Amino acid sequence: MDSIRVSIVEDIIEIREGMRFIVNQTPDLTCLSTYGSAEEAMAGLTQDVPDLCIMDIALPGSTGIDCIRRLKASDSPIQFMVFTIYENSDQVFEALAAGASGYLLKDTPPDRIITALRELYAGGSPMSASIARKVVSSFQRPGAATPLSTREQEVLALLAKGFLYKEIAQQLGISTGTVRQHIHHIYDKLHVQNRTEAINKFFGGPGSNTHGL
Amino acid sequence: MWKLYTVSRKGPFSIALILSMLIARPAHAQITPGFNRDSVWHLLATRPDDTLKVPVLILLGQQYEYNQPDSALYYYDRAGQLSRQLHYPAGYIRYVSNYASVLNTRGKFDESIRLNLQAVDTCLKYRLGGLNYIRAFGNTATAYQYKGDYAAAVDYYLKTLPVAEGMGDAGTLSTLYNNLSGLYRDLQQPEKALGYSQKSLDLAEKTHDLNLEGNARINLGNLQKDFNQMSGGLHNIERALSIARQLHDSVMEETALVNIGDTYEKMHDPARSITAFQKALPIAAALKDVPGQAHISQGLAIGLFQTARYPAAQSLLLKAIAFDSAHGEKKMWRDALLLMSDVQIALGHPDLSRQYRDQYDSVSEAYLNASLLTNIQELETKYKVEKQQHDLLKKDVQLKEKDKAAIRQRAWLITAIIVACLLTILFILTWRFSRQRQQLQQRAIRALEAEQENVRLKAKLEGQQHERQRISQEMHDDMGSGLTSLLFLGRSLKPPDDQGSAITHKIQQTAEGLIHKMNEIIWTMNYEQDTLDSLIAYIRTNAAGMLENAGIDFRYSVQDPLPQMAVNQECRRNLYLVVKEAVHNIVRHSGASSVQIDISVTGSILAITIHDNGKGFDPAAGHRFGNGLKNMARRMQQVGGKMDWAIDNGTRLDLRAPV
Repeated sequence: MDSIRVSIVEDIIEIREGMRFIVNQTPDLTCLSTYGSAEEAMAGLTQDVPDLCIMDIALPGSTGIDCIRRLKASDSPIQFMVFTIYENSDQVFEALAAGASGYLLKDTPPDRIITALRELYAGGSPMSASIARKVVSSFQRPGAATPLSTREQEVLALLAKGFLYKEIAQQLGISTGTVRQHIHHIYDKLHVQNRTEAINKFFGGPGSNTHGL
Repeated sequence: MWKLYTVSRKGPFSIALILSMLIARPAHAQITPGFNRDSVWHLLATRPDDTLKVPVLILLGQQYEYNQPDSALYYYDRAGQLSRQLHYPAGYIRYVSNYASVLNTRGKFDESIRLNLQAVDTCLKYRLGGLNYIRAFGNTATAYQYKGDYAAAVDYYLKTLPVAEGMGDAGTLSTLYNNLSGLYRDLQQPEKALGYSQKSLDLAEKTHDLNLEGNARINLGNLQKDFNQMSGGLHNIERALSIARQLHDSVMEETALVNIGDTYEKMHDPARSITAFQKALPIAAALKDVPGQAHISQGLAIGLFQTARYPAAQSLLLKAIAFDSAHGEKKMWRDALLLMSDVQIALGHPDLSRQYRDQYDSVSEAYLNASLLTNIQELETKYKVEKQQHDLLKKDVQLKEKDKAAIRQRAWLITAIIVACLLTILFILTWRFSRQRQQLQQRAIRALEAEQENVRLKAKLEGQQHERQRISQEMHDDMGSGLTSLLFLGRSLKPPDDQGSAITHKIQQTAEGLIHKMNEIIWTMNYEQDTLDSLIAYIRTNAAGMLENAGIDFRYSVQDPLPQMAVNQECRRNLYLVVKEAVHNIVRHSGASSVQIDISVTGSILAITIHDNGKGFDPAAGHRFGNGLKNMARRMQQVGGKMDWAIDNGTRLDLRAPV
């Protein structure tokens, strides 16, 4: 079985190396590359494409969010995992909207980091109550049908109320893994929406008499 | 009575004068036989001032009227004063009729009318009838007739008439008829004129009074002549002539003959005209009737001239001119001179004709002057009357002007009032409008102030939020990075021994704890999380996480839906920390295997109940534990809420806080 290739973008060398150590200690995970800045990462990640990328947000120069957005704009298959201290920040939501599929708290113990990486690779994502609320409001647009399925909406609603995955799984009669996969799909739809929004902004939006796509 | 024919020529003036005197003094002639002034004076001196003295005074006045009219007026005046003193209306009316008749002869018609109208008033006031009524009304009519106001005169005569007819005094009635007849003649109403004249005649015939009949026939005849009923006129006058001869009344005979002459003259029958005049002339001479003689001579001369008997005409005219000149008959003199001028041309003496013509001119002028003089009073009177009428009209016009002015003023006043009202309304409306506007402005100002205050608070809040965000950001970026570095450094350390491993682990735990604590602080400071939803979700997530890690079963019951409410930072922080402390205590001390957490909102009170199935606790026993509780109670107090607990199959904690 191929090991999961992981890249790390982190400007603080101790953390970067600590993370590399943790990743490399795990047999099914391989640290493919590490970068100290967004610029380096943008150059390197298009050449040497990992499966997953742990992305710090606060970087010297361009931010991790910029980096994710650009790489995703060029249809990068990399699954980004934002590395953050505070999960409820706008920056985390921005990164998720830009193309990240999960986030990792910096105080997460090493074993949990590994679990999170494996879950992401398997197509599952985490989501806090605060982010769930932001996602819900981001999909609430007047005159537009939500792209979310009923089940996704149910999951989102419970997350927003502070329910644990386990509780949601119990309530909906599904596994916690399925809950995470729903969350992953929700993030994918958020990316699509976010990209459409960006394009609309660039070309003047629907209804305007411009070149269009 | 020679004047009757004059009347027929000159109009009703003279006849009215004479006849009115008849009304005024029917019982007395100018000089009463058997009376003389001395005896009257005697009577006057001996009589006391009673009503009988009034007729005495009148009588005395009448003695003077003809020659000394001023003296007459004096006595009449005394009679009037005495009548007033004695409240003797009949006496007063007698005074008026005598006094006014003198005024009439002097042409003071207005004064006369005024006085007579007073008599009329007196008459009506004292309901006097009979002779007094006839005197008052009749004399008023006469005065109007003199003045030339024929309509008023007719009016008063007609008022007099029924009373006179009732009294049945033929003389008076006849006079009235004659006067009315004359007035209608002058008013050019032949039918009425002839009608009254006929009535006069009928009356005379009825009473078999030949004297009256003669005069009536003369009057009627003259009227008929004037209205070109020649044969009827001649018939009546000839009847009058025979009556005159029957009565041996020379005056009537002369008058009748003269009128016959005039009638034939008008009928262009000079021969008969001459015959009549020739018969009249000796009678006139016998009566010493100067105007009559002059008129007759002229009539004769015209007849001779018309029959081309010029020399006869000439000789007659020579005598007539001398006569007229001698007696001051200016009109006749003038007419004679003019005729003489024509006769001289007919006789082939143009020089003489011119001489007579010149004489005619000068006499004519003199005559005109004289007539002017005689008419001057009349003219003046008429002028005065007209002036008065003019004044009256002017006053009328002025009154109308005043009325108009009053109407205009009223219109102005009304307009002014309306304008004032409108202005007042406008003013009130403006005032109210401005006041409303002021109020609105004040409200707007207050709103603006409130808004400004809002903005200020918002700015303050934003500033605070901004500050909080900055602090959060710095903590997150700098401290977070540092702590994370510390954490990862610890993890990367190879523990040399067990003791070292323990220290490394401790370092890692401390770093993790710090990061977690920092997260809490950042959450607390994040204003985006200032909602009830957010607070409940956060409490739930963290409590659940802690309990799950400790392997304690938990159940949540959260009111759904939760009301959308804002919860401020302090309240949020304290409530979170209290719940965290409670859950921490359960995990650390209770030994519970399950926890039930209920969250609900009633009104604005947030209620959180945490019920575990642990061993409970004795508040007095555990000192450390007690401190924790005190701390929790203090936090609840800080947010205006309270905390209760109970030992109930474990521990039940009730938290209540206003949000």
